[in-house]
Amino acid sequence: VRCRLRAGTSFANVVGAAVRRFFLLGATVIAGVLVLLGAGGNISSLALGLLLLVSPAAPLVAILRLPGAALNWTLTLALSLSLEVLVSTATLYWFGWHPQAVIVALLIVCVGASALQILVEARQRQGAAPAAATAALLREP
Amino acid sequence: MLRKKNKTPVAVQQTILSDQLSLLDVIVETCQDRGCHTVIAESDQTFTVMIDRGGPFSVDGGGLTGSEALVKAASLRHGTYTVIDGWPVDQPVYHLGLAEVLQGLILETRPEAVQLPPARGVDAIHKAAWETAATTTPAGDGKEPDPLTRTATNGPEPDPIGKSARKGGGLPPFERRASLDRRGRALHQPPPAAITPPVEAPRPRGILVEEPEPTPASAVDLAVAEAAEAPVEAVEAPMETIGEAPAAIPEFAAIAVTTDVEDTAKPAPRPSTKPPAAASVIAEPSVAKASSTAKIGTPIELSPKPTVAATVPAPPKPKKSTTAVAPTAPPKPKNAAASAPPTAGPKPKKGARQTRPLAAGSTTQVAQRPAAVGDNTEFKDTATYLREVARAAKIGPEDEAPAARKHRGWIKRRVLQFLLWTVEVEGEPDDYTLGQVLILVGRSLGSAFAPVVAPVSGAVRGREYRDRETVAGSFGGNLGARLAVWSGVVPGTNAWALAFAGAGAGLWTLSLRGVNPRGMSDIGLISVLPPGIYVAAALTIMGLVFSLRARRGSPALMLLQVAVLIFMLYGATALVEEQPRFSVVYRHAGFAEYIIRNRGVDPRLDAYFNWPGFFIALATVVQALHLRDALALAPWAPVFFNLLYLPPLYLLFESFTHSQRTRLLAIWFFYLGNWVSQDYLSPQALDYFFYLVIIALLLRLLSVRPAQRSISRAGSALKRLSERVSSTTFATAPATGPVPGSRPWTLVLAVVIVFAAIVCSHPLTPFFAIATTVLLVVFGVVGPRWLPALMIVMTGAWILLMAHTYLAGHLGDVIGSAGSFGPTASSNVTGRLRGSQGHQLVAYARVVMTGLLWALASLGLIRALKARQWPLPELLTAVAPLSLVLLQAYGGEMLLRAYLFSLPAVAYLAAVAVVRMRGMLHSNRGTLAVALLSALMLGSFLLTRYGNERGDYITNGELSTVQRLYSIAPRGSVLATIGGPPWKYRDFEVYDYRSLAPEDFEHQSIRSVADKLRARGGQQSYFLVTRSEAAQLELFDGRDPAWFARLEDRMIGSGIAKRIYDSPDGQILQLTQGAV
Repeated sequence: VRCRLRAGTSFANVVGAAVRRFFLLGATVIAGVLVLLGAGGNISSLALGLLLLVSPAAPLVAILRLPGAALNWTLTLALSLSLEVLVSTATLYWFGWHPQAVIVALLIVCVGASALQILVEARQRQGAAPAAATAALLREP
Repeated sequence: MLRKKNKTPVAVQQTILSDQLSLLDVIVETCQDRGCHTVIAESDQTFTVMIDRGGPFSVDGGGLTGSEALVKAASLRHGTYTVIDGWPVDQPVYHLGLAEVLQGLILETRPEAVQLPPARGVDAIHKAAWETAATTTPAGDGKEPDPLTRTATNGPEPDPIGKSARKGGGLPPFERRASLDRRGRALHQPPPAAITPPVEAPRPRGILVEEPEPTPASAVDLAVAEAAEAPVEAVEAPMETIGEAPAAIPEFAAIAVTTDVEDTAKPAPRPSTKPPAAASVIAEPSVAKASSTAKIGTPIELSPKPTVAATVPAPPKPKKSTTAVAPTAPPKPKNAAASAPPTAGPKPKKGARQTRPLAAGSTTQVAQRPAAVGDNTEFKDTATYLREVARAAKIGPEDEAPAARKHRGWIKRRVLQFLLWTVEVEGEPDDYTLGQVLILVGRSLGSAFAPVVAPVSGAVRGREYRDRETVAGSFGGNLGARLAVWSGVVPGTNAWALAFAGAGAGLWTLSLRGVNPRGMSDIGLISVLPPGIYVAAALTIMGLVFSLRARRGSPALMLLQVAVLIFMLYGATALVEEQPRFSVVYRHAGFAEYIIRNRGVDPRLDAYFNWPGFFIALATVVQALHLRDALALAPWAPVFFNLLYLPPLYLLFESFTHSQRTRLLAIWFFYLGNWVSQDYLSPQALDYFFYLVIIALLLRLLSVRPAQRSISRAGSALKRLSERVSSTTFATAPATGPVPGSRPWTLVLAVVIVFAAIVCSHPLTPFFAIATTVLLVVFGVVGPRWLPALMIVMTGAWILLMAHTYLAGHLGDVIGSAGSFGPTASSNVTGRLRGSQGHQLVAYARVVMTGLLWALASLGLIRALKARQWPLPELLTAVAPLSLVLLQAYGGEMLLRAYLFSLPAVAYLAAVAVVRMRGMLHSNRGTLAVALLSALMLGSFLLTRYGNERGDYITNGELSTVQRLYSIAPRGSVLATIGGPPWKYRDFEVYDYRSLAPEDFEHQSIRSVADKLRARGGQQSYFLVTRSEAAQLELFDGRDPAWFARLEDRMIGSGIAKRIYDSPDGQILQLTQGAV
């Protein structure tokens, strides 16, 4: 069953893109704010879970434009958890353990990667030739 | 399901032709099974017959092709034959009119070969290069599509979750269709509407394509269609292909017409004496026009029956036939009809049947024309026929104009889309009304009651396909067809798979409510499970069987089934038990608690503080979520981690095979074989996920294509192996693996980041990752070659710089046992095969379960090798973890870890062994075997994974005892116990924890043991006894259940200790301040 979407686009792609671009970024920022403010509750837990499991790597993986949802999700989960482990460990060894610093660092990664993703996609949309630095990122494997 | 129950299994059991079994019988039997099959007969000559949805479409052998080959092959009565699923080539060559020839052979009305039009390849049509030569030997080696075959040779596999195969968007329509066809759909299915040429597109005259505005069919045209029944099939067959031919190549169409006409000139062997049904006329403009255009330059002796069309009975919905039937129209000159301008005919009325371009597929055209008795123009199986009849009779997409059913609203379209997917009906939401979709869903779900409510279906199913018209006619045509469809001919296997999975999970959850873990015996949780659990397991297995047998299995549904299985198998203890299982979980929670309190780690306190990455991240999560401690996350950690394993597992198996069934079965086997219980809240659980990700990324994205593999300076033996690897046509390259040189550095960077997380989190997993990566790189399977060196440097750097504290004190332990297999085997295997009788049963069951899985994997390997395939990545991934068994005993757990790390590849090879068994997933007997095997593994899983549960689960009373101990013990006290109580979850560095062995009290006096405890200088000394410790001693050491009680009595009786806390699940003894 297929939607009548733009050629080469599936419903999952559209939803995935929307989630990645807006919902994820918004939820990440909200989660970060909630955590930094010390708010608890199920909603903030859910948002934090999203932040830790998906958010940091989702824009980065989206930039890579890898084929297949399984591949994208695998890399997103793995990179997010890896970043959390590495940032937490680095923070502890360099500055002492500060969970707020970890959250802020992950937020910065997420927001920065989202901005990069938007820039890259905007360049694509304008039809401009991607810069050499992003050409490698955009290369279809 | 019900429809197939009474059928002869497709996987032919008898493989020898005889006087009683000709190859024609085999072909007919195979045709009765919908789907794609290939019949290969070995006699004096080899014949290959490719079948799709109930009819042959390509035959060659004996130096012949097409109908001649079919006639010759049908007469074979000696030799052997093989029926396999799928086609051996990606784009098979179509030989037109084979179905008609076969039907003639069956009815013995046309035993002779018919000169048919030359075959046409899809590629040729796509490129608009008409192949006039009749050299139509299909490519390929005639082998079965193999689960080990990767997609490198077949193109990228559409992604199962996001359907990202369509994401690229760069494929031209035909290539996209070809990729779909490789998944089992017929090539002559209607292409998606999105890639169908628009109706208004100009088309060359004379081509076998309907004009955008259909002209009324003349009586002569109808007569042509009526008299020349046989050519209808020949005309219809190329419709789908010709319809997509570029319009700018009229020569192509002209040749096509001519070739079709040659066949049209031959009269049908058995002219129909009955007028066609009204609906049959509806679709005829295209056919009639085609036939009329075919008359260009070829004289045809027509049956002068212009009145036949006039006497056609009125259709059920006359308004829909207005575009096609013009019985009073005088016969036009044939060439005039052919050259009539598209606008000459009247415009179709609103609500009339939309005349689609022929590119929409011949199946649709046929669907509008329910065959009357004697109409031998079609050759499809009963289900397809009835479905088409039912559609034509109003539940199909053609009864209204699509524009009239344009569903508005995003949610409605999605719901319709989902429902259509559920009942396995192809099409878009706009093709159906909401009522039609609901009818289809209801009929699909009601198919289980077919034997009760609709005896019609049994009669329909029991007939031969050749009698289907009679069957349908005897039951009142459309009415009978409707009943048949209602009663199960439209199989909703996806819906049933989903229903069984949901029912299984629900029943499982309900049944677990009444489980009392305190009543467990030495064989663990299985001893207290109620019968409902086994019913739920049976339902789940039935769901799996439905998915495996579904013709168009949904990957998303399969993954959902696996998720349900994970919830059932790995979440059982969270539903049953009072506290998180495993005493070591409490220690891990204590590490996180230490980090939260001290904002740092002390490598001298515990070895794990030398690899603290997981615990630091865990502390961050606990703090951010404002949890009391990490124990709140522990109960559902196994479910979480096993769900986490699912994407990389799928990705890994995706790199192994493009067979959806094999992937599902491999994932299924993985979760049924993972009894090691290393998925609790631990660094190993997280790092195992990272390990799977690394291996999957390497094999999926950083794999070297087989043709470019080489091994340099790896020894002569390896070189020989390399040559074999490079020269073998095994499909082990991933679908999208880049070639060396164009490898994206970002992916390598991702692998390095993930590996860095492993290095700082766990001491053992990096070595498993290194071992596997080294083997894969050395054998030239993946790149880059410097990756293992980088991984070794990273691991060494961490050990030398960050874990030197541990290394300084345990260097002898680390490297002392290297190469000594005896102690390792003793501590890993023989040391575990002792204890109580129940525990020994569990231990032996684990050995048998492991052996069974490895035996199945070996069988899969052998079958792959027999098929001239060399599953090198799978083999290396399975073998590499075992190499570490020789290096370290790892506290008697190395063999378990090695089994765990090799389990994905082993499970995959085991699935290959099952899938490649002849007819295993298609015949009823094979399906039953798969179900029994799954039941055996599921039962074994419950026994092997939860066999030690009596000693593993923690009660509220035990935790209360430990909490009481922390509340009364002053800081700096010595806390001693035997075994593993649920302690250390707080104040890890505050107390002096001592774990004693039972032998300490046997080899020494109680007083000397107490003196040693007091000598550690603690303010107070306490001795803790809990229920789980007593159970562990009983299970693993085979000690008397009253052993602890006697020890307590002796300590209290001798005045060494006094009992300060007593509960059914734990006691606390305080050692008296005697002389040191």
